[in-house]
Amino acid sequence: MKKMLKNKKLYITIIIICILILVGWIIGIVMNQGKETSGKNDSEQDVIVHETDENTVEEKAEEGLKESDSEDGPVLNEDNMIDFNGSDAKSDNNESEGNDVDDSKTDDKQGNDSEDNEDTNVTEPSDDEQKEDDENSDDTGSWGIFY
Amino acid sequence: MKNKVLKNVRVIALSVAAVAMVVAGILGTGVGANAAKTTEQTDVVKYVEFTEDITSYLNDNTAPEYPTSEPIGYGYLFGGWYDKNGDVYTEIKDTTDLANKTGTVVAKFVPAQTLSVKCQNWAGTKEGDSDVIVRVISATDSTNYSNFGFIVSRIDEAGKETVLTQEPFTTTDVYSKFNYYKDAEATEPTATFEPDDLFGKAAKHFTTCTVGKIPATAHGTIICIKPFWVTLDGTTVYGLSKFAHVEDGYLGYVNVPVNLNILSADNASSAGILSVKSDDGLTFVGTDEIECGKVFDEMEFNVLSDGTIKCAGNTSDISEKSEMDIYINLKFLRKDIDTDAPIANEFYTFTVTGEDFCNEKEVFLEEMDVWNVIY
Repeated sequence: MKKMLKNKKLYITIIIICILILVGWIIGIVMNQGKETSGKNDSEQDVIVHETDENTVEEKAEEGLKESDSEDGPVLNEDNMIDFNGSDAKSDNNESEGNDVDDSKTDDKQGNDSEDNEDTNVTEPSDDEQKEDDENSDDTGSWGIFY
Repeated sequence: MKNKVLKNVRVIALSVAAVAMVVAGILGTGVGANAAKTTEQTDVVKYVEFTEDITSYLNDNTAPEYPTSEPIGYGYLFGGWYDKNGDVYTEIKDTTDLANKTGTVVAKFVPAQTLSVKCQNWAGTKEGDSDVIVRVISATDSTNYSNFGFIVSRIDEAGKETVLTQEPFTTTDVYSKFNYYKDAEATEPTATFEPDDLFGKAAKHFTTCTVGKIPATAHGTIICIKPFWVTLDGTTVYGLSKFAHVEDGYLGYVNVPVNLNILSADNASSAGILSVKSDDGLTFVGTDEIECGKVFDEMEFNVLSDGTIKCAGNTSDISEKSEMDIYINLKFLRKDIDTDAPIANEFYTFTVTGEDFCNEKEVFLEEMDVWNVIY
């Protein structure tokens, strides 16, 4: 009799534990649903996000950007350089076209004749600079610290 | 007496057990499990499936527009439309294909840090040098773009901006490694960098252009650089602009451009505040070195005792202020300028908090994307 009572108590305890876990589970599901719904508009509910391994993305090598053989950027020459002094410049407020910087001051330290250059806005390099340019003409350059 | 105490202890123990079981049940459903997910994923390329009609982004097939990354949180830039065939993603290369597409289309979103800008002077450049050359660098996550470009301008002390080329500089060349030379005479590079060393995990290729003939008198002049990529379907996407100065290279300055993305033309902002907090390792240079960005006409700022920089700006004309641009440029001094160490494999993060922007009717703007700056 005593044993039966003990078993009965055990069964009731197990059932109560199961009911409590079930209640918790239901509360959890309701909380999750509330979380998913809040802060989302209609368009977001259709959204599925993937984070892919890059191998699953087809690269269109023939149409897209081309990986260069150069180890350190393009060969440095005037053709692929943007002129700070703006031989091709445009002012965003349309007040003036072209150079806004007083170039006549810029070459004094190098001893160049700045007045000769006023019309073209092109600065002739000094002999030393020309030598340096020549030395680097087949190179991609020695670039300093990143900033 | 003893029995009563025992009974009470039993009741308390049973109550605690019951509560624990309910909590266990709740946790079993996964509530709270994804709380710490966001930070790690900010440097990962994401693909978002669009099941609804996307032709609204095509704008009559003349000038395609693109969706914002709202579904996955801001801080990402559009990187093209893709087809999903099983596990393979194939970029849709023109707008006709896109317009005729039925079913699911996938939009690629790339962390914004990928399309940001860094610069290098020619090694050994110093104060007083004339005809200085600056290399401008950015990155892409793949070669699936039709081209890449930079809009480069200079801004004089009066705030007048002059774009240096009639048409933006564009290129199709990308590079896998860039070098750093401490001295111009060095025959071997001091360090070699790959794209993800400088532009975050998603960056796979460098892109570059050079700006030349910068006179000695313009070492402190702002060079404003706005990078962009053009997807294979022809969509131009602008990245994070930067203010650079030649003197930054030899004085050891770090420019921190806080970019705003005003996500809708209807949301043009007329005033706004935010705070920027720097990582350790950098010293704020001073209030004289703060530069007003290109969104607002007037900026004010205040440096708090904990180093947080509180910024406020306003503008009278908001007619053309409906796209992403620099809100403010803050200048810091790098501590390692006298050492051999370049900025290697580490990023400084500047956390932006307390963003609060309103339009001319003083209505709070929710659709404003302000990114933390990762340098």
